[in-house]
Amino acid sequence: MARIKSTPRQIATPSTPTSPTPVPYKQKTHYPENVITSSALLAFPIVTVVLSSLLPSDPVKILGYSLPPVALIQAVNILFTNPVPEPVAKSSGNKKKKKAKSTVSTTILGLVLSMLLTPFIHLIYVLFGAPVTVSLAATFLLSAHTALLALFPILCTYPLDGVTWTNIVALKAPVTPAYTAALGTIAGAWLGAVPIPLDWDREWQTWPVTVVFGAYVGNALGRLFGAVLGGKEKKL
Amino acid sequence: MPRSPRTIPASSVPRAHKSQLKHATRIYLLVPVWFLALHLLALVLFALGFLLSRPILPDIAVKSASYSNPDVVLPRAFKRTVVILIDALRHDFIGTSGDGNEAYYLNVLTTPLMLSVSQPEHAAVFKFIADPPTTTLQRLKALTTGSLPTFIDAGSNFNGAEVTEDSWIGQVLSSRGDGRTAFAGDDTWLSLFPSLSHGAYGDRNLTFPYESFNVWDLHTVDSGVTSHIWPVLERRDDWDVLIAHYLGVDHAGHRFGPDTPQMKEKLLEMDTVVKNVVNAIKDDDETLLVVLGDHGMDEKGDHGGDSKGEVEAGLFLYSSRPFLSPVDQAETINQIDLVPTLSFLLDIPVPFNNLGSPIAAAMLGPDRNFQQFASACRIVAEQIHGYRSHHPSFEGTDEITEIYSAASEAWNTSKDYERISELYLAYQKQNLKTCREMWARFDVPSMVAGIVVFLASFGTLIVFYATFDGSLECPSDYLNFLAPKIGLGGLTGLAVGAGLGYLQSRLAIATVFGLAMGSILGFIKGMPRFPNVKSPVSKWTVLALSSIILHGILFASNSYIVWEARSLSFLLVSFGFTLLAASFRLPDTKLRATAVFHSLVFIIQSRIAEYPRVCREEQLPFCTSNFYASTASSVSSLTALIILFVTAVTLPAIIRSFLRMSASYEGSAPLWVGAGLRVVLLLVGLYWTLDYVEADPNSQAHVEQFKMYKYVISRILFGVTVVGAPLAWFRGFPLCLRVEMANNQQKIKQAVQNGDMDTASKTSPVSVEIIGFGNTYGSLYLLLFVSIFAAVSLCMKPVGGIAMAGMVYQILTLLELGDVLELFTISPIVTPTVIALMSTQYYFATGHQATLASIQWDVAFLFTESIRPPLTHIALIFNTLGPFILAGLAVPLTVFYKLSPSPRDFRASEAIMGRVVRAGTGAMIYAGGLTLTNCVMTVILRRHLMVWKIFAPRFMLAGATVIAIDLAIVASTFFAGKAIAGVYDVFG
Repeated sequence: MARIKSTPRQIATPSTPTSPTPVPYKQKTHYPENVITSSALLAFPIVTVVLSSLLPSDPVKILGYSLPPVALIQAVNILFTNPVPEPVAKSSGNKKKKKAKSTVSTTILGLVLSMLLTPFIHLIYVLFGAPVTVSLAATFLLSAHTALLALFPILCTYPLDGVTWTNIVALKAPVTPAYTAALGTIAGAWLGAVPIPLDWDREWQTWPVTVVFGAYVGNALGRLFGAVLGGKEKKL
Repeated sequence: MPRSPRTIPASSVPRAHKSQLKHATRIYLLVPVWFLALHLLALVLFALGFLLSRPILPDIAVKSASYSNPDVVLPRAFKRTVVILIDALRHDFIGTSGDGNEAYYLNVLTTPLMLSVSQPEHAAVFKFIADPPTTTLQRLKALTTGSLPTFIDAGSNFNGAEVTEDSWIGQVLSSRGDGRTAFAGDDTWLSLFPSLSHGAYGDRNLTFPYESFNVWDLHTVDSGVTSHIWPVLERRDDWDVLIAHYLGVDHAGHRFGPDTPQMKEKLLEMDTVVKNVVNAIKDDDETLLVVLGDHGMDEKGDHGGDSKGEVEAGLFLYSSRPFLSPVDQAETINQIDLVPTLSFLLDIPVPFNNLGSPIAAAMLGPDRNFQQFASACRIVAEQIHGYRSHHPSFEGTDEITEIYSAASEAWNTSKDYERISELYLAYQKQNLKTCREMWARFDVPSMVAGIVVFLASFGTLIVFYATFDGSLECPSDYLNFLAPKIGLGGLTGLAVGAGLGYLQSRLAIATVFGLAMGSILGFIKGMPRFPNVKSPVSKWTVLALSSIILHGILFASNSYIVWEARSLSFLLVSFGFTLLAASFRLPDTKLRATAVFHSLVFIIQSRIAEYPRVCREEQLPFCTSNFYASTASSVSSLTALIILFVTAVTLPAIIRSFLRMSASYEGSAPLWVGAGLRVVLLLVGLYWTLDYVEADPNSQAHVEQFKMYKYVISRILFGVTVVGAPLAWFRGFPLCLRVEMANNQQKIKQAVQNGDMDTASKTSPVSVEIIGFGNTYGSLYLLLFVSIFAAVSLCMKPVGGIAMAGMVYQILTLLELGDVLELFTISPIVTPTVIALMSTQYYFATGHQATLASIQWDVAFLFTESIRPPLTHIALIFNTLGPFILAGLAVPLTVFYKLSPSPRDFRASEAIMGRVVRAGTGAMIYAGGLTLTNCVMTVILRRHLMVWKIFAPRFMLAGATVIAIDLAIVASTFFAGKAIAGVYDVFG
């Protein structure tokens, strides 16, 4: 008789269906104010055009100066387009006010958090190949912009709990414009790195111009995509 | 969770099954062998069309009998020659402005033209046509040997640089004596002609080489050359040939372009140089001045291709003695024509491989003596005829030989020297034309045939991979059925191809093509017998296939090829983040944490793998080499040595930690990995330490003794890693298992007490536990893998060794991730693909680039002081292709990792073999697909400016990659078969 001691994991082991419940996020969303949504959609292409035309001359300066306005646009955007819990029938005016206030505080919290996470994004850029010792300011400001574009909206949209954020990183969070915009930003920034090595000797090929451009375009497209899907809670 | 107890019967395995399994594992080997053969045939076809090569004859010319023929009259020779080579001197730089064009480079270097107008018998300017490739190295070879250098000279010697064929430099040195040369400028000359450096007067050296590498420096070389040539010019009696090679014009072109103020400044400086040299030899009618450009430049200032600006260089001849028949300003001559002309003007035999014709103006002389010209033409024609009759590839070109006979006939019968020289020249021109056709044109049909075979084998691989998905009941039966079909198809194709090829006089290509395509058609004919398998295509498979496209797209642009290492790191990091996202989808928290950790490690490894580098020329100045102690040396730094020792200690610990995860750091593992590998790696470190001390000029060590110790260490290590360890693996079969006896009396007692009589009766009093059973295959194969890693690591420079250790760690990380994320079963292609992708990344990390120059020739002397065939070649192959070899050998691990044997199950053992073969085809899909895209891009871009500098070397790397990976897959399939049969023997 022989007994066999074996590894903890075997290929044959069927995965137990204890996956984290994907959608603990039960807010009923309604995307109101077509006007506001479309204006928000317009804002970023404009920012993109302005930024990309100015950027190659002095990336650090332009990225630095444009950071506060972009933060403001994003904050306004979030305040007006973020899903607001549907008013309960019984609710009084007082309660409504409270909700609005909490949205403002959420927005501020989200802004602070996304700024705090900027070094983390910087690290990701370095892992993807950004220079380690030089162009630090440029990379850091790029990270700050990325944080505003990708992180800030989702920080304000999704509850800050482990399961939700595990799903967000695992790319299976419920689809919202904030989420698609973040994914668009990442895809755009990724594609933005593509033209850098080409030997065209253009001014706009300097780090991080193309990545900023890609991030903004990706953000706008992602947002558009999310708005079209509009609240249909789909999984990616 | 420990596996439930399993019974293993004491009875032995049925003999029939054993031999059947052995036979099956052998049949499986046919699959990678067949695909290897297809890839080889495709490569041969493509390379035949693309990589032009010319056989070099080593013969040295001597003066023929014609020299003493009374009818032969040759122009008076010069004692001395001053050759001023202005790199990238385009013809219009010394020409006239033409149509009111006011470019910066026009009308600046005017001395040559002014002299040729004012003293037409003393000076002349020619349009000097270069044959592509217009790169300095190839041009220098042409300008000295008179032949048409191609990208690879088949006869080139071991380290590829030194000119071994006959040249006018060699002829001067042998007729006037070694040391009668003076040289200043581009050090390329010294690597081509090492004996140039012997030039000296008294104890003063006459050789002043400068590095040609840094195109950002316009002045160092030029001012150095200028300062050195004046004193030399004054000491006329100490040399016969003075060569001065200026680089500033070329560098100004590369950096700023031709139509720039910087170029004007540079050309002004060159004008002063020419003017001063002319003045210096004005009183000396025994000195000939030759000012020439080796090639021109395009409008951007680059060169290498075959555009008008690049091939039209300038040539200026001057002497204070009248020696020229006045020429037209736009007189056009070939660059190789300079070689026979100089030979006559220096009174030396015309170099053996010369294809050029004498320049009429210099042979006719001021009195237009056609007897001189006809004599020169006759001697050159004789030399060319001799060359042609030595060369097998000229057989069957009788019509050209007829022209020669007609000309010789005319020489013997008439005195009409003008006609005779025309006839001889016609022969020379016709010969040059056929040589160009033979050596300097791409054979597009052959290249396309290569691509077709690559494409067909790629499709076949995909079909094979898709259908061979494990749902086949008895895969080896299908192989038994397919093999004859493939063989028969191949033979039929061979016969048909040979027949058709013979009719079209393309025998070689048609035969190879027929063989390859025939075997593929045979496979297609057998396909209907395949079952209809409809396994869903996983997202990971899509990812693997798209990574081939992403990597392949890099070959569409020279910039991405130049920056390939960084691009690959980017792709691998992206894949790492995909793994990370997938890890977060794991339901089990503990597994998720493991996967997230390893994904992060994988990402960091991918980023770090980009760090060690030797920059290629095109990357400057945006790249700093860190592979060696400094950019100008090939000695490793002390830091690298220290890290190498740290690696030697830690890598075995890392491997141990991975083995411990499956409780398989048992049995042979501690001895093999913990002791063996560690000692080997420490000795490798010791070897490089000795090398470091030896290379240090300040060390007081007894260098000779050190050398001996070095060779002793490296040869012992060679014996241990290349011969000993694999042999031990085959013979000893080092399973990483431990058998533990457990006493179950307690358990039974407890069961009885609990009233559980069922358990009590089923539990035997003594049981045997096999520790490490769950990774039996993986740990066994891993031991072989690390021993081959040690062999490869031995042949790497210190930083390369560190990089290879990193590769092993990254492969283990990927394997663990593949296990946790179940990639091996979801998509068996994705891990082999990523391992193959990593191999190219680590090729760069081991100090290589996609250039011939980056081959680390010095490792040839790792084991021996002189070149010894097996040792030298193994060292070079392991050094250059080590990462690809390791990648191919790692592929079976994607099946074996954490795989436990299925006792008494013959079919299951065979199925494992099937999975190994399938994973192997996965890696081959990647390697073949990559080479396919590379070939397609190379055909499309074959007229690209950078074809010889960038695309051709990258194609050669792609070819080497696919063959190395395929060969390693064949070897690994063989090893895997041994492992499976062996494990079946033990547990069967």
